[in-house]
Amino acid sequence: MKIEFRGVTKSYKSVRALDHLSLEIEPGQIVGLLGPNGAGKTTFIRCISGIAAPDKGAVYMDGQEFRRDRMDLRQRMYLLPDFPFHFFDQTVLRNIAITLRLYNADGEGAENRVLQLLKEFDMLPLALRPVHSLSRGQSYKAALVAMIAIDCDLWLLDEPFASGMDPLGIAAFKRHARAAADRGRTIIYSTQLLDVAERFADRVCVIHRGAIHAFDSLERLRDRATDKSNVLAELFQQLQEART
Amino acid sequence: MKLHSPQFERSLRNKIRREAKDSKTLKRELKAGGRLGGRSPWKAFGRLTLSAGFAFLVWKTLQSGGTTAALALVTLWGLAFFGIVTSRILSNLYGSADAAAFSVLPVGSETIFRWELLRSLRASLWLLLDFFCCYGVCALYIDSAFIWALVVPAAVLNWLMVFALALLAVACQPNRPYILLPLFILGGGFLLLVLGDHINFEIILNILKSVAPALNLVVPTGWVPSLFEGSIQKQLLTCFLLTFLVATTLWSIQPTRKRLLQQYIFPELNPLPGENNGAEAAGYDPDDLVMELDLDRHNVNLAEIEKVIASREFLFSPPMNQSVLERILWKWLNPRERVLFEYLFPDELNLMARWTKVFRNTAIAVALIGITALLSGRGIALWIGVAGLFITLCQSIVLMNWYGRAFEKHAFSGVIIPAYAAHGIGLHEVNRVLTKLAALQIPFFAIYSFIGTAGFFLFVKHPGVELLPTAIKVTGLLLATRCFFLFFAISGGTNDTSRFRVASLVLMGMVVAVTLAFIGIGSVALLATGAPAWISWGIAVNLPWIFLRFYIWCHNRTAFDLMSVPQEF
Repeated sequence: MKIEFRGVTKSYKSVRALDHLSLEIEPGQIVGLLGPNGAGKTTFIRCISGIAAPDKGAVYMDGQEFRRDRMDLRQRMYLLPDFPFHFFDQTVLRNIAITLRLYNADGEGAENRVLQLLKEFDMLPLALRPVHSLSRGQSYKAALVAMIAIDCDLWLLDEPFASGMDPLGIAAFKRHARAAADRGRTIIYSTQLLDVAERFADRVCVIHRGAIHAFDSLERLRDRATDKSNVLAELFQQLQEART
Repeated sequence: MKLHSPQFERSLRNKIRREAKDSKTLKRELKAGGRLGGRSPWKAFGRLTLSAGFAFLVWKTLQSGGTTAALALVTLWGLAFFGIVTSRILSNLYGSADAAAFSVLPVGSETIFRWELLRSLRASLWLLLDFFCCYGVCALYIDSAFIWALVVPAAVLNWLMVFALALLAVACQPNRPYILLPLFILGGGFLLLVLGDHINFEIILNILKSVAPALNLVVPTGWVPSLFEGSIQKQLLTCFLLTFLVATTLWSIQPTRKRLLQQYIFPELNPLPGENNGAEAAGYDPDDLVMELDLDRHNVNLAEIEKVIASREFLFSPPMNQSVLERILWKWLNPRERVLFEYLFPDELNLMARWTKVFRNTAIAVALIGITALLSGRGIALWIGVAGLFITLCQSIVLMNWYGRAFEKHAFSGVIIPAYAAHGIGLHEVNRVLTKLAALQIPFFAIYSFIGTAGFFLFVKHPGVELLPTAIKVTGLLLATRCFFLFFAISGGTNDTSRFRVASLVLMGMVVAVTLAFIGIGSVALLATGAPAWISWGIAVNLPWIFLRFYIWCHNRTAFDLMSVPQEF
């Protein structure tokens, strides 16, 4: 799914979270959103998912303006926040089943997909546990299993690498995300971990004070950087210097 | 009680200011941060206006209806706020947004309990101001030094009484819909004020005057106003008895607080439990949970789980006991709506059983009215009728406005968003399912409205010829209020009116205008006869619906955020 931001501005009272932001994300890309705290990363994700309403401008998906009643577009995206939306008194399996059903993805073969994913994320022993009894990382994995099983065109993830997942879960997520991107899915995630973004993103988008400071592939950013081994750290250093 | 050191905070703040002094950027950001964290002066202004408005109403009642009637207003005000304070204590203790913070801090349950309780007490301080104003107005009217001396103790006692009663309610009956009390009392009061000119204010005043003495004695929030009146009239025995009742209630604060504390389970396992607060409400025993967590996860029978998954059982909702109503609804819903219905109402609805309960309670109320009218006369029967109809009306309105988990709240990076937005569901889809559910219940609601209207007609000895048309009108108008309830449910999960901007003001203006128009035109529909009445009825019934459609259109056009931004954002 191709995502376009056309002059999107979003303010919270006097704070401008997104400032005339325009960019295009092509399908089949993994985009890492970076930026200091409060830079506008989560607002960026909220605007795509329809939770936040841009004050100006609009978000386009495959060339069509996104609106909340465009269920055809909404059914093609899945939002996974830092603390996943679960029904805490229900089991992991029930939560997955609810999500699959809402996205009309519980047809033939869904059970095999879910089973395989539960095994990969080491969640099978916990499948019949209520979500309230899980740790944060396990709860995140449960939501991730549902998201991967649905296999939407657009994956939106807020801080997946600060979700408490163990290395096994993170590796499984990366593997599936890469495979999904190869199938043409668009994956957008926010993170504060520069080394992760350097290794796991086709394009990096650095947001600062609601504006795009850099949006390019790591190779190109590296070409422009003076310190080739610490491209993103250098970008952040520039932001800090400009601020003070 | 403070969880922090104010002195430390002050010195830290000064240091930050000094640090930011040399940098323009930091200074600007600090200023913006300060503005974001500040409390809105408009809220305080609005609340002050409410206090002043109520004091003015008490003053007018003093002039035309006397002290007892004016104090009856104070009783009703106290009762309405008893509902608000009770709901607030319940939500603070068992559904507080502080949960996430407390769960990682080395703070004991007792400290959390005290903190949340004090938060509730502090939030009810405006009520103290209301009582000061009311008793002050009484003193001003009577103008005696003795009465002036009573103002402060009466206001404080009344405020404490409301708090004590709220604590008792939380400890003894936490599952009652207390929030409906202010909705009906303040809403009804507002309605009467607006309609005052049309239905003759004198009649309302006379009713208030006739019921005031009983009201002030029967309703516990009226004991302090009665004590105040008894002191004015130097009725020693009454004062003695009321002092005993008030003192007993106030004495109960400490034991009730202790009892609540002993039973207190802070819902840290579930940061935002929504309506099902706490471990008990979530339907599990905390001890069982500990045992469950202690289980060695590798002992779990993996083959069994694999079998469950392979059988696809988990993909389907567990079978429910469906009554005729649910079966009809199921046939009516299309496949997508069925999916949403299962999502919104994962547990059994038992619609038939719920309506049976409403009719049973109505029958009990009617029987009690009859018996009381025969034994004691119409005065007490009127009260029983009002109370019975109020309770059953609340029950039926709750059934007609049942939203399941549609508007439950989920946390998302510092803001709260409604469940339907979190799960990629369209509001128009939710609305369609909820409308079908409500439409299915219309026959039951109509029967209930008919019984209620018939009871009212019997009591006021109104000609029975008009019973059927009036019942139809009442049913239609009450059903139309569903649009308002739905609007408030949706609006509660958005920031549509939380910002001071033109769009918010326009929306608020529209809400007020549509509400007033609905009340005004609806009253004409009920009071007038013939074609004008039915035309008014048609307009009144459709107006809220048109407004709701417009609001949903704005929602779909992404006119506002689907999140409530906390003040501290």
